[in-house]
Amino acid sequence: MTVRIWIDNEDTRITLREGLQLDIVLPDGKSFNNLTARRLFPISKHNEYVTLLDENGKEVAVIRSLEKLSRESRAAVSQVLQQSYFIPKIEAITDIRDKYGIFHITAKTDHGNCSFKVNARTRSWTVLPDRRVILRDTNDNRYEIPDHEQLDRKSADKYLF
Amino acid sequence: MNLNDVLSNRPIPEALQEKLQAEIGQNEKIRFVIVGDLTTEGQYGDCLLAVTESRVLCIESGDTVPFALPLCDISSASVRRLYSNAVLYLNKKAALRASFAVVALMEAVAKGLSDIGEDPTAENLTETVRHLIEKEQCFCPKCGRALIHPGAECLNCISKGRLIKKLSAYLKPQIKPILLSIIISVITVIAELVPPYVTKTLVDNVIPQKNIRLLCGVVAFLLAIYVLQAVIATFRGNLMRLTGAKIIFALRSDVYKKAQYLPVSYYDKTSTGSIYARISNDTNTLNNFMLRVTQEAIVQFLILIGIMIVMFCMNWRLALLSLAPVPVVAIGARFFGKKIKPVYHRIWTRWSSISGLLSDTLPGIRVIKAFAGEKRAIEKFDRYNNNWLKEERRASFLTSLFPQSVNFFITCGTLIIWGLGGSWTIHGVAGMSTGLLVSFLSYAAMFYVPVNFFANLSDSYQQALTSAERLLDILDAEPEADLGKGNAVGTFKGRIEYKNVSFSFDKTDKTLQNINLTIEPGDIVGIVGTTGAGKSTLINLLMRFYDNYEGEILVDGQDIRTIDMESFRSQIGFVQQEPLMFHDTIFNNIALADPDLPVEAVIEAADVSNAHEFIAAMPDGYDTVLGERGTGLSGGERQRISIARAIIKNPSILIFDEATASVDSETEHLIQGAIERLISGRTTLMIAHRLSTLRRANKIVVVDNGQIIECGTPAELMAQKGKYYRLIEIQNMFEEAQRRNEDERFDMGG
Ligand SMILES: Nc1ncnc2c1ncn2[C@@H]1O[C@H](COP(=O)(O)OP(=O)(O)OP(=O)(O)O)[C@@H](O)[C@H]1O
Ligand SMILES: [Mg+2]
Repeated sequence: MTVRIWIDNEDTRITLREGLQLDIVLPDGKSFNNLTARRLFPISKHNEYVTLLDENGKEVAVIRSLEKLSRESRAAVSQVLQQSYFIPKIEAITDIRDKYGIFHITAKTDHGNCSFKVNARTRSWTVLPDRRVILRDTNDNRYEIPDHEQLDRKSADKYLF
Repeated sequence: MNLNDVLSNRPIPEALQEKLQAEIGQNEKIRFVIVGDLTTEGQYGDCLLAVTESRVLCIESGDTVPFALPLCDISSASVRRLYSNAVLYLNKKAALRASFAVVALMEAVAKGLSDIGEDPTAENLTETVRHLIEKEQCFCPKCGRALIHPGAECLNCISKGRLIKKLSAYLKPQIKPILLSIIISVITVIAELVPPYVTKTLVDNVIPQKNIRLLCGVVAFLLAIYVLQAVIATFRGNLMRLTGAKIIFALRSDVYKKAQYLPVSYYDKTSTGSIYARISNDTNTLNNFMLRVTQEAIVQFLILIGIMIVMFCMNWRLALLSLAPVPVVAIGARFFGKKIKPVYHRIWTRWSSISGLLSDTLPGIRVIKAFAGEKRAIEKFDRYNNNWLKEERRASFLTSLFPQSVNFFITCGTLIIWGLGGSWTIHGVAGMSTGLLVSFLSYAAMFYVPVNFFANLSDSYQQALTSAERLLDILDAEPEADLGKGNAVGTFKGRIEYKNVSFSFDKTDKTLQNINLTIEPGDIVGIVGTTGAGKSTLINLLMRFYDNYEGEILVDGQDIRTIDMESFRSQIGFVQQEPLMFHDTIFNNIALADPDLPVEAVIEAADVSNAHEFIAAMPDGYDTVLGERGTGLSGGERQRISIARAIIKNPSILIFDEATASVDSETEHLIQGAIERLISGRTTLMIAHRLSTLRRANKIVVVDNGQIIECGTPAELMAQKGKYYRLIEIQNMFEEAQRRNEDERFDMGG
């Protein structure tokens, strides 16, 4: 097994290139191009443990925490992550209707308004211990409710949790 | 050009229609439009990709400048599936972003555009897109659920009906006892109405006249009534309990029956714990409710009507007054129902997580112990249990508050009768007498029993509704599609073809991509590849565990989806990667396909799979009862039994998924010999990591990352020096090293 390269200092240079890919130069001068960033904990840890994969899907290095990177590098990685991970945070559920076991939901999210369908029969949502809820719609898109107790009780709470 | 007639996956939003009109030339013909739901910046918003005869146009809502590209200038087109969204890149530039709702279309378009050289005016691409859109738009007009094929009846809608209709099917067979019970309850009702009336005679006539003989008569009469009531109540109670048991029996057995026919994908998504909870608890709750409605409710309703009639006959003014609290109670019941329903939903969820945890951890107790995880398991259980308690607390508060409030209002109702009726009696107005007042008070007390009953009915109604929904979820779920039911097949010759098969468990990733494979009858095919490559999935599709794949799989030239499921599967012997045994005798575990198989056939099969010897050595032999999931056998023993199980069906196609992974080399050798005898003439698919297992294979398929990367005879693949060659090299090296190691050890010992 090769030794995993951990990136946790300001000396690693990470730059963005088109197509959501990253180039990195390690402190010792070694460099890798065309890397894809992927969160190891897409649900529980947004800014820690980001793995960088090369074109064959092989891991090149892991960023321990975005906070430890230099400002420019952090911006580059954040931008890639933000573009690749699309998990709208639901701020309010404007309408929820149960039609034959499928919830038709219209919601206000931090990415704008949207409507989607969630299968109530298979209970396609997970309530995490910190009261976050991850919903999965009928097309396998993910949505997050940051705190279901904060959401207005009348709508979502009633049906979902 | 009229944009409403353009082929598109969704109606084109108006704002984009204008922009599109402005972009396209006078005589430019739009082939199709893909409407997406995200902007390239990753916000919700409309966007579209239009393909005309000569170029591609990408337009977004907002101020973004439209982006156009002549078809002949396209050098690359690809789709990247990100997390919950996908981006279509044209010449490395992000052209369209959308959530997974349109990802399949985007991929088809990307593929078509990257091959645009052979299809310069995008004609073929348009056909592909039209096909896909038609397929996607194949949903039920009523409920919007996807249909199996265009024009299919929506199983959801035809079987759904109204709840009552659905459930009445379970009441129907019991209609006789139910009717009988209703008829005798009419007698009960009359019997209940009599005593208070007699009270009136007692107070107004018997006592003032000091008529002992009449008193004795009245007492005797009442006694007779009470005896009658007791006898009827016993009889009815017995009848109802039996009827209830029969209803539960039918319901439970239907749910289980249905659960057997649910597709594998249903179980991928639903925890078995929640299914246990449904079969055990929900059937009970629902049955209680149905009995309450058909029995209690009718009796109570009759009592209500009876008392009202009597009360109105006795004194209509007082009767009207005593009705005063009823509206309050009715409104309260509605309110309460609304409040309590979500609580019941949550209690159910909590409860099903508990039973899910149970069905998960108890069978895994060895793992928990091995990792000293008892405390953690207890903590987790307590956490779930606590969640349940929290909801239960909320429910118990609500459920005790409500009946008490109802009681209070009703008692207030009797106060009116006490006060007004009393004063009317004192003043002798409105034809009131003491006896009348006393019996009226008894009737009023009786009157509120049904009122209370109906008020509380909403509680059990809500509870039942929750249960009914859970049960209908199973009863109404679409069973495994068996479109070819009745189209039974004899024996297969064994020609298997995969044609452009692609499959994904969910839309996040494609597990299999564009599989094309032809297997001739009698072929012995070795399927190799790194773990997670998709080998088992390839087989799962052939077994028809999943049928929502693209492309088609043919056996002897027939699309497998059009063949009768039972006859199809009975033609395939499948040794699974994780052999699962049932809590039953070894004999029954082998004769799973048909318990009536001749004993000797079972022994023969066990012998062929090298299981006979170790079974014979067990004190109970073939009668040995295995523990749940086959505890009591070693991994290799289980594997051998599952081979016996597969071959006893005398199938025309044999599939071994890592059949000899957990036996030692010597046993493997034996089993291998047995398999070789067995497979002569049958089409055989063998998945194996140990390539030495595949020495008889005349065809090797190398699967990598969901694709077939190499396919041919072993000799051809060796000559190709590709992945197969490398795998063989590695294994030879490994075996060589092992042998050398063993030799060394032997030397040292000697
Ligand atoms: N029920 C499922 N739901 C979602 N993904 C699944 C499911 N079953 C398998 N997968 C995924 O599909 C991919 C292919 O799995 P598959 O079982 O076909 O691999 P395999 O080639 O048989 O591997 P192995 O040699 O380890 O048995 C894996 O990445 C796996 O994670
Ligand atoms: Mg496998």
